[in-house]
Amino acid sequence: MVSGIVRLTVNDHIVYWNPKSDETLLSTLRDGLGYTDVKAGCHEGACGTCTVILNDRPVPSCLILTATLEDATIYTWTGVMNDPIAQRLYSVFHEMNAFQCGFCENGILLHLFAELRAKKVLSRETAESILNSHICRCGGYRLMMEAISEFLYADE
Amino acid sequence: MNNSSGLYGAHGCSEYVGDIAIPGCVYAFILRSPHPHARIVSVNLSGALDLHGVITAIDGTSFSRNCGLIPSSTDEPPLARSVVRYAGEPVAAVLGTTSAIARNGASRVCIDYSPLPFSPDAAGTLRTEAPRIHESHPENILRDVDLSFGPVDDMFTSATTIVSGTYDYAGSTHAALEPHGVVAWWRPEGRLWVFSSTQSPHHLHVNLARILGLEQQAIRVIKPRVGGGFGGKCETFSHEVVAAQLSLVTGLPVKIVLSREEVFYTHRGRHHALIDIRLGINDRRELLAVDAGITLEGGAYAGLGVVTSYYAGQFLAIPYALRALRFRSRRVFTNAPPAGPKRGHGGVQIRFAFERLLDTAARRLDIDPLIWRKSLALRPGDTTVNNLTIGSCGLTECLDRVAEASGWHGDPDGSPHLGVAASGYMSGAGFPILPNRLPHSQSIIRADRSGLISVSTGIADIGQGAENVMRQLVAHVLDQDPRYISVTTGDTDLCPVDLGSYSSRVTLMAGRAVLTAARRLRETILESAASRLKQPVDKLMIRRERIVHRDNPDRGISLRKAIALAEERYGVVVATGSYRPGLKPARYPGSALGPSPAYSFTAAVARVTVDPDLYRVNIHDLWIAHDCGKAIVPAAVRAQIHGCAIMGIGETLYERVSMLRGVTDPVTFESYGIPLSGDTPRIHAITVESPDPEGPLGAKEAGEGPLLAVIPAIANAVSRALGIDCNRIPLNPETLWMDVKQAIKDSRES
Repeated sequence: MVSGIVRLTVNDHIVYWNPKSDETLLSTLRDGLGYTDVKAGCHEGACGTCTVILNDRPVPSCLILTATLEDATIYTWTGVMNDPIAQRLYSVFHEMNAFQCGFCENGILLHLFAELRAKKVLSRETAESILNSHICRCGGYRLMMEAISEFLYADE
Repeated sequence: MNNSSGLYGAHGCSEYVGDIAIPGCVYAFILRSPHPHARIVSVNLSGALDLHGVITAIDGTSFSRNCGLIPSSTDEPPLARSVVRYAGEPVAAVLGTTSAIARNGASRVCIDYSPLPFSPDAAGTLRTEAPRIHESHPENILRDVDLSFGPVDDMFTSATTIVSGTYDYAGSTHAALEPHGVVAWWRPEGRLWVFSSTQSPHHLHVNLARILGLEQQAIRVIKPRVGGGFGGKCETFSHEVVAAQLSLVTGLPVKIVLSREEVFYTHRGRHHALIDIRLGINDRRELLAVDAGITLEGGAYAGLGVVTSYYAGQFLAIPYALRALRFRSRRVFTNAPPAGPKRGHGGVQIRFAFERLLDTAARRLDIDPLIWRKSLALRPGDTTVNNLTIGSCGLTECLDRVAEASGWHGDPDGSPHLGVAASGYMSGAGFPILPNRLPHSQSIIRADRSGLISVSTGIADIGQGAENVMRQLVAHVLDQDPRYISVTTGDTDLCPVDLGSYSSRVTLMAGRAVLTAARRLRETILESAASRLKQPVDKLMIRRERIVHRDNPDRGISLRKAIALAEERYGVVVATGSYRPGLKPARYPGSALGPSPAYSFTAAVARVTVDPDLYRVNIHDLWIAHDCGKAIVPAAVRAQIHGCAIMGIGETLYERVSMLRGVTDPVTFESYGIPLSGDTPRIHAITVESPDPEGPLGAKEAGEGPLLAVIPAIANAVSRALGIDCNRIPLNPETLWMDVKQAIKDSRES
């Protein structure tokens, strides 16, 4: 396993970090660097709450070992939430009351945002498949799809 | 009223307990028993204490009092003393400067166990030679409730149809996305601050004081944002008491956030229930009598199990009129994590059984199960045979609405198959868990010259949107922009007492307290305005943030000005409100458990197909009509109905807390089977409003009730699709395949 100092760019801030060999990116971000907008739900890649954008791809940060990263660019929700697309996503979801306890929110919004930023478009099918990789125990899935429809409708 | 927005609720950047960073914070790790039942021979903490970075370590000897809210059943030590009773039970705790050091330290604690015989289920612990889990309960039964109302035997004698069934309802767990967590801090000035992911700051407050031997006023409990509860964060837990004790000892802020595996051990989920029901019906197809035997597998400790034992029987009496009722409900100790209150506490299992049995009866009588349910429904003003008083009841409208929306009266027997069920649930427990005559909910409302209205009440918003309900009630009374109504909750220093988020009590009880306070504040403001405007108070009203004359709305002053006038006249402009249900318990043991100031009602229809080869259920649509009295925040009511639908699907089809060789398995999301977006059918949420005289603006609950009807509606649809009685939850392919095999065997034998 690689060890030593890694260079991370988190939300446009450059950080040099010396992770332990078994340290996950989730732990680096939350416990080490204080990015508590990245939530921890299961530590096994099942719930999606800890999703971040790593080198332009959405990933569950609990499944990534920080020591394996080299010059990585990372965005958490707070790093993108001022983007107009992110703001619109946020607004439609909240106006639809799609989130209740809010714990799954950053992971889901960031995942959708990453898709929109990478592909410029979002189909309902893709949105369904993205939602299917996240757990919302409050049960807002259909309301989230309504919010996504609203978002896409406003786009047309 | 601008109330449809979720913008007032939690959001992803809110601070949950795991996000709290107090400088100097240290971390504790809880060591848990690997054995389902064992005597603790010795605990040696010295290995941990020798590790650099370990601050201290404790075991069960640090505590002389137990957890448990119900005074008669405080049987759960914060850390096990002498015996462990389930695998995963907390035994020792190590405090380190980092969580990794605490965990390392815990691995150096030596505990010598002497394993004892164990049984994870009631069949095992009810045997005469079964291992005794608590010395105080030789039969392994926490509570054996045997109650009878009305002439049960006479009713069965006069019944023209008697149906009966045996039902098995699996245990399940809440699995809130946010794991439980706590930060406890014994502050330099000599008070303990406890931040916890809890549904009841008040009960945690009272319980911590009792367990730690502190004065209540020495403790402040603060509930940050909570990432879901569903009943799983009601009780006082080991991690809360341990963190508090470690902070008392060290003076340091102590943090514990449970891992997902630990959350599964902490449990308090739905009791696995084994139910036998017999139902007597007369020739007019009225329900005469119900006789039920209920066995609840409770796990190793009491928790709120006494309540469960009563609710399971009491709620048989709603939502249909019965002339007689008898139930025997036993809550049994097992070597498993304690079961407890999960959404729909006590009512879900028996409602599944009852609604399945009604469908069995309807088939035998060859009558439409939906139309029949309408004829059976309780009516406003009814008193049930066990003395529950029904204020409002919109059940027949709920049934009409789901029938119409689902096309029930078209061809309910065509494929996909439809199933119907109905239910009722409490809007708050009529009597407190800790017996006293104090208000259940209180509120302070204050206005100042800035124009801001500040409301404080001790409620716990756990994601359901309770704070916004309070905000909108105030907005309704004062006609103020909701943005300028600040709501402070969940802090025992800042807020007057509310008992917490359980038994679906907040909208009704805290709502009444807030409404009373807001109306009193309005009077104060109007009086001051009246004197300035030289008009009688009763000629004035608040409209769009102005105090205006009723006959001439153009004349008036701004609300802000009126508040300033009131401040000039009285000093602080403040009003209070409190609420205590005016119920009187009936004269039978346990009569305080079940009565509520108001009851909500639900009807659900499910439309399903079942794969004939794989026995996989596909739910296409769910229609759920819920009578919430009055929807204060319609979008939140809708969200709660959706939440109940999806939690209901999970319980009906997938979820099961099971034990493998005495150890909980699964303990991960991946293997437990929580419903995902792809498992979700079309959900048609229908709000029915039958305003209740007891509710604020007529409102009743919406957070738990809808769940109860969803589960049997799906089960009834699946039973119709397969042409057999599906009486075991979850309806997974394995269960259904066995049910079909059994049905084939039964039909051959007959």
